[in-house]
Amino acid sequence: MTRQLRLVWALGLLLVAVVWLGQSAWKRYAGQVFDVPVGEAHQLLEQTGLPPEVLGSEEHDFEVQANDPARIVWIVKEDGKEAMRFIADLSTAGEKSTRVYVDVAGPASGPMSYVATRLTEYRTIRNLYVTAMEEQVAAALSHREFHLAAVYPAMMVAFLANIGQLNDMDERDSEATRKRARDNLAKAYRDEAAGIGPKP
Amino acid sequence: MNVRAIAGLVGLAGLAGLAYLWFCNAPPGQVSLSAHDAYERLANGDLTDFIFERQCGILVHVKAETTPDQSVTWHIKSSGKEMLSFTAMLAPVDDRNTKVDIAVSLERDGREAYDGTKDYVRPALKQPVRPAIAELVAALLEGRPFDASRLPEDDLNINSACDIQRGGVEAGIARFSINDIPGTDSYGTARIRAAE
Repeated sequence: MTRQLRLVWALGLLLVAVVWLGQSAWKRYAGQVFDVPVGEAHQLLEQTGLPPEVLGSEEHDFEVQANDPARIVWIVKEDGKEAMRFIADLSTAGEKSTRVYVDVAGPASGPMSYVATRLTEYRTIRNLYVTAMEEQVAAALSHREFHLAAVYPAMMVAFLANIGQLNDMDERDSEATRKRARDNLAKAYRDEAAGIGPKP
Repeated sequence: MNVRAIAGLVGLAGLAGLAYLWFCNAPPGQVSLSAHDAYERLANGDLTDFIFERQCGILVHVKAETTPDQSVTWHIKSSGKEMLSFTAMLAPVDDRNTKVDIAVSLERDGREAYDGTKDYVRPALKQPVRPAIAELVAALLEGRPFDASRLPEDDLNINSACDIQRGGVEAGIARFSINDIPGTDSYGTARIRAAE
């Protein structure tokens, strides 16, 4: 009985995963369609910000480019320089409907051009960013809140696919912190030995 | 060779291993070294890692006092003042085994210094210090680095002053000494004294 239950669970999970993958693939291929005319969709997206959480808990500087009536571009900045851009392409899908394709890209040149290479290498993370922006667009055009739950599956896939890298990064960070602490402490001892004390 | 014979051999090897562990490992508090070898390892030991792991921001210096083949006492000083001391005392059990006892200096109340119960305005080492000293002595005797991960968790409130001080020094933004005015670091003390 227990074995059968486990099998049902596994099959259920597999089914959910297949449905989610199918939906995501279809959304990516066909775009999302909203019951909003293109002009209104453009206006709404022009006033929309970046998706929450997926770029980290810190607020990011960004700029919205909306000169093209069929495209909105969100340029994410790091220290004033372009780090990444989200692109939403808008097209008519009927008289009062808009089809939106979302994509993400790294800068073609400049100090952060490596982001483009990383987005190609880490496809699960690229998928996470696109999924998050798709949800942000859907929230804006459906006049509702951003649902983080819509991003969880992509987040989980990206996390599992990059768990090794995340661990390495964590270890490198703590190693660097320890080294900095040791260096600062060693400097304090050197200063003390040299008779260099805190001055007012 | 059939499966039963292999299982028998594996079982015998396992029993032999257990017997080795049971009879050949030194009992707790003892080390499988002669008193002289144990003394040499302790007297020539490096306390850098121990100090780094347990320091509290004020700069401390270690001075070892030795009685050959009998004991090593480490005096922990800061700004020339003794903060605490601890001793590893060696007693030969036989030619190859030595009993090692640890003693920590006492405070005025008769309790061991830095035992995890006392507040120090300018603490020198994280509390409780005894388990860390035991790990230090074990590491020196075994010829391995001091391993802070072997210590029990010590998230005592009593260490909050220690954590603040060491955080400031490790971040490179503060300095502390036992001569600082309470509530300030050495920079703040220098400013206040200059204004007086």
